[in-house]
Amino acid sequence: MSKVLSYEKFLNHDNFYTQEELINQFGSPVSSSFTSSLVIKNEDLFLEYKNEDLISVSEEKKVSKKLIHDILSDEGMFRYIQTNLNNSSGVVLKIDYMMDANPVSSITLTKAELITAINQIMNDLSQKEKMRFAFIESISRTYSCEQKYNDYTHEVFVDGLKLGIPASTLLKIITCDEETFNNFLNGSINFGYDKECLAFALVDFVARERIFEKFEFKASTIQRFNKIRDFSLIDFESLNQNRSKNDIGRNGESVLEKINLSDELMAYLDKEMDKTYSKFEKSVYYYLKLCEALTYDANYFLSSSPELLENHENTEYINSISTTNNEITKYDFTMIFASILSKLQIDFTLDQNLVAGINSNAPMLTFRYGEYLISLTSFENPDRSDLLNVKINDEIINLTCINKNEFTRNKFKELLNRIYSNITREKANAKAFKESLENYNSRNNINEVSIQEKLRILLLEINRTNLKGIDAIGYVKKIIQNIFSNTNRVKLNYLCKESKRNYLTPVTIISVLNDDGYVYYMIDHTNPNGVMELSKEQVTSVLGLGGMYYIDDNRIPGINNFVGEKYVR
Amino acid sequence: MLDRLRKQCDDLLSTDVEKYMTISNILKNDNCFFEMDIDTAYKILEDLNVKKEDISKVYLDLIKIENYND
Repeated sequence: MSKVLSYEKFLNHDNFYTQEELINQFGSPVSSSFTSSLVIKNEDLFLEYKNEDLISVSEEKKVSKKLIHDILSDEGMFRYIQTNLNNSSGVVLKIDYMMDANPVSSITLTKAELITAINQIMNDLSQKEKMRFAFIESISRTYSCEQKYNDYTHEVFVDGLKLGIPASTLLKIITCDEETFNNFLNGSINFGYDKECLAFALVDFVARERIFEKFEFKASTIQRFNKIRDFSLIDFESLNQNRSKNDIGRNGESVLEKINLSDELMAYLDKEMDKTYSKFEKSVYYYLKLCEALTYDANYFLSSSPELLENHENTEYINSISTTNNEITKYDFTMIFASILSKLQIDFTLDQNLVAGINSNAPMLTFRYGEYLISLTSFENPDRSDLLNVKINDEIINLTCINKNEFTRNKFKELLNRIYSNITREKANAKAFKESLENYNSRNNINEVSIQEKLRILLLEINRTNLKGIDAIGYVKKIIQNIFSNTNRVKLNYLCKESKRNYLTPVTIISVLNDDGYVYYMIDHTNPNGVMELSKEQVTSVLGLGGMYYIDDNRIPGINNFVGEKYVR
Repeated sequence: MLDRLRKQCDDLLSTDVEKYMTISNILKNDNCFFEMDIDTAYKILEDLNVKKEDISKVYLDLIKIENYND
């Protein structure tokens, strides 16, 4: 109350209410809400302040010259301004006009706007007004700002980490000379934190402390700050984004935790991936390969019945999706891609509506990596979605970079185009290879290599490989496919045997149909002797001893399929 | 070994352009012998004038795991 009274007695009471007058006229609650503003009585004066002889103080705001002159010349108004020069909001003047105890219009000015206005009418100021302006300016200079915040540490949260950055460091970024600033931008100078974190903290600091409203800065400083704030100099837009996955489904449980993509699908996605790709490049590659492998479920798209919706939102269905069982909805696709991003440990956020089963046109998912913010837009139209575009080598439209920084967007476009061209080239090469092979086979008389020769090759190859265990069985499967693909006289069964320590190791049994019946070969992939030739009785005996389990098919030709233990998986 | 076969194929091109262009296109794939069946592989090696008694040895060399291009 004493602060208010300090200027009140100097106010022109024909123009402005005192606190006592406000209480008498409107009651004490009204009075208490106007302790920091001047409540004007004189309507004509208020209209003059608002509408006449205006000068610009910002892009959108104008004030009257008379108001500025009155602030500097009227004792009461100047003392009022003085009481507000250091308030935390940065607003130094508020004039309210009331009607029936309610404010109907206001005029406000920040410190920076007041100084801007005074600078424009400098030539019209009296000596007294100039002196009062000098006083206001001295409190508002950049130097004053640096002094005030010299020992202040600004705290921000960046991706879950609390950082305390000296305000002096933040101010240095916008006030340092051009060479220092350029060195900061190109990384030659380090101010102790990543420049993205510093940019984020700077913008937060200026906004929270209303720095530009309380203090005067050069136009070039403000311009530099604005370019930082709009991400055009430093792209820090991805900080603090995608912190929440939004993967809780309609039953209140995490959908993604139940997703376990099929081995067949993952093998297809991984098959030709460049092993040197970064995690981000992998995410883009996986997206393109998924679009290549999967297709929009026509029945779902055309009918959109609730039963189909529930069928597709069933994670068991998603887990069964493969290159042959490949019809999906946008829900399925989004969950598959989200599951892959999760494995890559890339932060993402799912569209809340999509997870809740509500159809929407919002991006299905957004994710971030480094400076990139990526959006996966909705596959609304089958004729314009990437599910089709990738298959016909058309432009990618649903995976977009949404950074405001043009350089970042261009970098993403180049990365996407590079990976897409690699895939297109691989497809073309694979097609050309397949066609050449078919052409060769159709035009040349291919004699079948004898079973004995094939077995000999297989056994030589198995004996010479240094691979053991599961690696060996994977390799054997690969070469057996090529060596025995054209014959139905050979059958392979994959088993495992239990060692004394209850440890399972892989075993392959090859059944070869000769003119005299079946001959068997057992490959123990952990045995240095490699391959054993067995008779039917020996195979039956080995299986009957126990400790051998079928991995998949339990039908060994010529052997009773009740022999041996059950499946291990 | 694969490079030798490619060279051999180039040398034989003039004898039957269509056949050896086809083989040449097949051999462009570094993993071609891992992606075709043994019957076709043996025929290709025969067409590239690998001696009959050496074919299995050459084939085994071509499908060595170290030669698989990841």
